Amino acid sequence: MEKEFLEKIADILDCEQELSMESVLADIEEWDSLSFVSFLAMANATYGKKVAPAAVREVKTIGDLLLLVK
Amino acid sequence: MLNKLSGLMITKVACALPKDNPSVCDYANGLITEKEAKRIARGTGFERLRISPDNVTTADLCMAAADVLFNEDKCLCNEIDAVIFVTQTPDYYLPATSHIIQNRLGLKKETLCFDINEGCAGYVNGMYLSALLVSSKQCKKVLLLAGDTISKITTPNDRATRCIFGDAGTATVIETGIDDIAFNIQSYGDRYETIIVENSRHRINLTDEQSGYLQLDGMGIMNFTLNEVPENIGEILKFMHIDKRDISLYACHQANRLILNSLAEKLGVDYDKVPFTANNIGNTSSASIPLLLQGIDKDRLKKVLFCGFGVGLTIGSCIINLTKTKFSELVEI
Repeated sequence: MEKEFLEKIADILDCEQELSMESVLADIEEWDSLSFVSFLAMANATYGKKVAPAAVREVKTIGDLLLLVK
Repeated sequence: MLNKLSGLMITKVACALPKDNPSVCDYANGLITEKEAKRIARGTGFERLRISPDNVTTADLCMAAADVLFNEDKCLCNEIDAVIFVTQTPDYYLPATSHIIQNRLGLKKETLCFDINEGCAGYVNGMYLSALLVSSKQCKKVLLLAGDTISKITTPNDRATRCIFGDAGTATVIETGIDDIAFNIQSYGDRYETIIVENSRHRINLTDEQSGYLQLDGMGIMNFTLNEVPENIGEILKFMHIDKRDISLYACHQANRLILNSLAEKLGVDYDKVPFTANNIGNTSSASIPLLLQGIDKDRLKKVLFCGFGVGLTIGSCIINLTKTKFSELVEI
C-alpha cells in the first residue's frame, strides 16, 4: 500500500523532488491549497475516508497522510 | 424538496460569453508562474478564462443570450410571462435587475420579474421556480436567465479564486409541454461561510478591502461535493426508479475537473458520463450547466441529470428530457 500511496501523492504534488514516507510536507513547495483538496478528493474517492480539513493542515510528513487514509 | 412537476418542456437554450479569453497565467498576472499554471491546469482543468470587460455586466451577457432566442423566434418576446434572473452579480444593489431586463428586452409590463441570489446550484433552483410557474398554469412561457461575472468579485492577490472563475450569461425558455421534471433541492445553511462575500454593509461592515471579495474554503467545498452531492443524486434516482447507468448524461456544475472526476468515482460512473468541458471558460457559476449542454451530442440528451452544488451551501438536481430542446449557437460580446 505504501508504494502505491507514494505514487498517488507524487502525482498530486507533481513536483521534481524524490519523495518518501519521511518527507516533510512543509519543505515541499507544491504542498499548497491545490494539493490539500486533491488529497481530500483522493482520500474520499479512492480510500473511502472522510478526512477533516483541520487534520490535513496539521500533518507533518507524507507518512502522516498515509495514516489519515488507513 | 424532492418532487416531480408535470406539463413542461425546455424548448430553447442560448449562451453568451465575453470575447476576452486570457490564459490563467496571464490573467493571474504575477500570482503564478507558467510552471504553476500548468500544474493548476492539470488539477483544475482550467487553462483559459472568459473575462468580461468593466462595462459588461451579467445582465448584458444574459440579454445577449436572450436576444439570440428572440431573433430566432420573432413572436417569443411578446409571449414571455415571467423572467427569472439568477445571479450573484446584479447590476445594482437595488432595484432587482430583472425589472431593468424587462424594459431593455422589451417584455410586456405584465411580465413577472424575480431576481434570485444563487450561484452554482442556481440553474436548477431557477429551473424549479420556472417549472412551478408553468406547471401551475400561472405562466405559459418563462425566460430563465442565469449567469455571473464572478471575475469582478475576485481579488487580484487571491490565487484560489483568480485562477478558476470565468464570466458567462445564459437564457433558457421553459414552457407548457408534455414532459415531467423531477427535482431534489437541499440546503446546508450551516456551511454558509464556505463560499462567501462577507461585506454586505449590514451583518458585517468591514473596512478590510478583502471582505468585499469572494472567499472560498476549497477543502470544505470538496468534502461537501463528495459526501452530500452523491447522496442527493442517489435520492432523486431512487425517487424516479432510475438506475444510475440509465442516466444518459450527468450535467454537473463545472466547478473544476478534479471535483467532477472525483464525483464520477463516488457515483460509480465513467468519467465521460460526468463531462468537464469548461477548460477554456472557467467556473461560471449558474451558467456552467447550460454552457456544458452546448457541445453535447443529441443522443445523450434523453435522460439528463442536472446537478448544481455550491454557495449556500446548497444542492439542486433534476432529471430532464432535452431531446426536443433547441440549442442556439454561442454568442460572444
